[in-house]
Amino acid sequence: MKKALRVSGLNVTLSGRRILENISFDVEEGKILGIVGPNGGGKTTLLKAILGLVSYEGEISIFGFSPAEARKRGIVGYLPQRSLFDPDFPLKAKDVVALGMVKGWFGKLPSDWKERVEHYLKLVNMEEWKDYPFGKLSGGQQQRVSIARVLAGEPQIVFLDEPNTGVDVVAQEDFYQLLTKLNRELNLTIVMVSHDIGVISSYIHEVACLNRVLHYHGAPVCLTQPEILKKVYGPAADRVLVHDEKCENCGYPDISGGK
Amino acid sequence: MIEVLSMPFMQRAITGGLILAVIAGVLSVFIVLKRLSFIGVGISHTAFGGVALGVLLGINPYVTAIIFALLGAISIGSISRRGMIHEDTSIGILFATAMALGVIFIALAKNYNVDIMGYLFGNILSLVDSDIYLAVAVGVLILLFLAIFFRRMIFAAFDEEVAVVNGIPVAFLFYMFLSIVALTIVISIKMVGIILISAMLVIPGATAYMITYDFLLLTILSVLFAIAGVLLGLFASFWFNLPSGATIVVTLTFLFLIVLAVNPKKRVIL
Repeated sequence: MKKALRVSGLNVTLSGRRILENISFDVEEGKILGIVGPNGGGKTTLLKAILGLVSYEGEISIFGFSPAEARKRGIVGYLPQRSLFDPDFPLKAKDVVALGMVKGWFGKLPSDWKERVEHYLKLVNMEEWKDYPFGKLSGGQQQRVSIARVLAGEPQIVFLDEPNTGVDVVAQEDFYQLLTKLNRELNLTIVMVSHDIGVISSYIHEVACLNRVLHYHGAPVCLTQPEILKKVYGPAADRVLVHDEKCENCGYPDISGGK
Repeated sequence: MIEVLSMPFMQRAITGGLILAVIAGVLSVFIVLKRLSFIGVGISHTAFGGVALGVLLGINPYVTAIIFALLGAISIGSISRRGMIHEDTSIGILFATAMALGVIFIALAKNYNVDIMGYLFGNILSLVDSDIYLAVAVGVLILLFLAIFFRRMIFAAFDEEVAVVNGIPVAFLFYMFLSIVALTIVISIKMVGIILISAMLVIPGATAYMITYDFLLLTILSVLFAIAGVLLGLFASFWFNLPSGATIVVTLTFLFLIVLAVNPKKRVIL
């Protein structure tokens, strides 16, 4: 199977501090990789390094291209951690989605861009809100429109950084199902940073457990192995696993009060 | 009224003013969206150092003003992007230094007979034909650039990181934009002056920003406000015999206050 992403011997140092050390892993085309780890463990920095947004040492290849070349070719999509947008910014939901199709120095919008905007807004269940100011939407709605923007660019691989921050549980479930659907139907490769490791385990093919170094990369079974989580999260490991109904005999105490 | 309009100096003033209004109207949208108002102030004051150097060396002050303004724009831009020191601190240091140099240059130019007040506050009624040709040439170039990169500039203003990932040349656009602001400031020196041009680069966009969520409509409204400010300000200047740069800025502020009082965005989504 084709390699969508290859990271080899990656080191990142920011302001004199080593954030990532000797990270190596591959992701095959059409897979969903979840990156988990504690806050400050370098998850966001890893995504930024892969996208070439921070300087790094080592090798990164996205479908055989360097990060800069991959960006130029428009094959990557990126959803950063949700930031606060100016509520008065003069863009409506449909305009934000259309921006996803604006690429490179002179690339023109495709002739069917309006239909595409409608299509992707429908896909994320936001078509009714297309004429609404983006900044006035709720956090979860903004996130869905942002996903539509990423998809409208029709990338081959997408990088999502904590896509569910500020999104309620029902919407989260819908969101993961949407990702699974896109992954299946479009053969879209997805790399997703997340903190709700128990929940994502049932939607991803592989997991990378990261805390400065890569402690584990492979099938999500690691999330059921206390010794790996202890390495990544330290003594707090007991408290990081969010159990869900699919999580049985995971070896962790249920601290949710039996919900 | 017709009599006034038939006077050549008034025709030149209106033509020059309209060209400046269109350029400043469009630029002010991005200045407001990217919160660059203070950068505009910094670049315009830097231009004063250039004007004074031209006076000292006995060469065309516009040439040295363009050099100073472009250097100021690029220095402020690179300090701002690299985050070495806070942007407002760097602008505060740079523009005061450029003004101080300007004062020194003028003091050194012992036998100058140049109207420094004219450069600081402008006089749109004193435009000559060559000023208009220069404004048209620069204006066409600026509008052409903005037409090509309009959507990309909106993208960069909205979400810079994602714009970079989409291959948008964000750094190039940023420096080009600051250079355009610098050029606009220099061609407007005679019209509204170094001190007052920064207001024209902020107020029209800020006024339109309070009305609509549609960026195309926002840009059109911003240009219309700039045109209204220039025309009404110009006639006020003529009738009340007041300095034109000042009457234009006060008119723009008056329009801004009216829109602020009505606060249309809170009432209806446009």
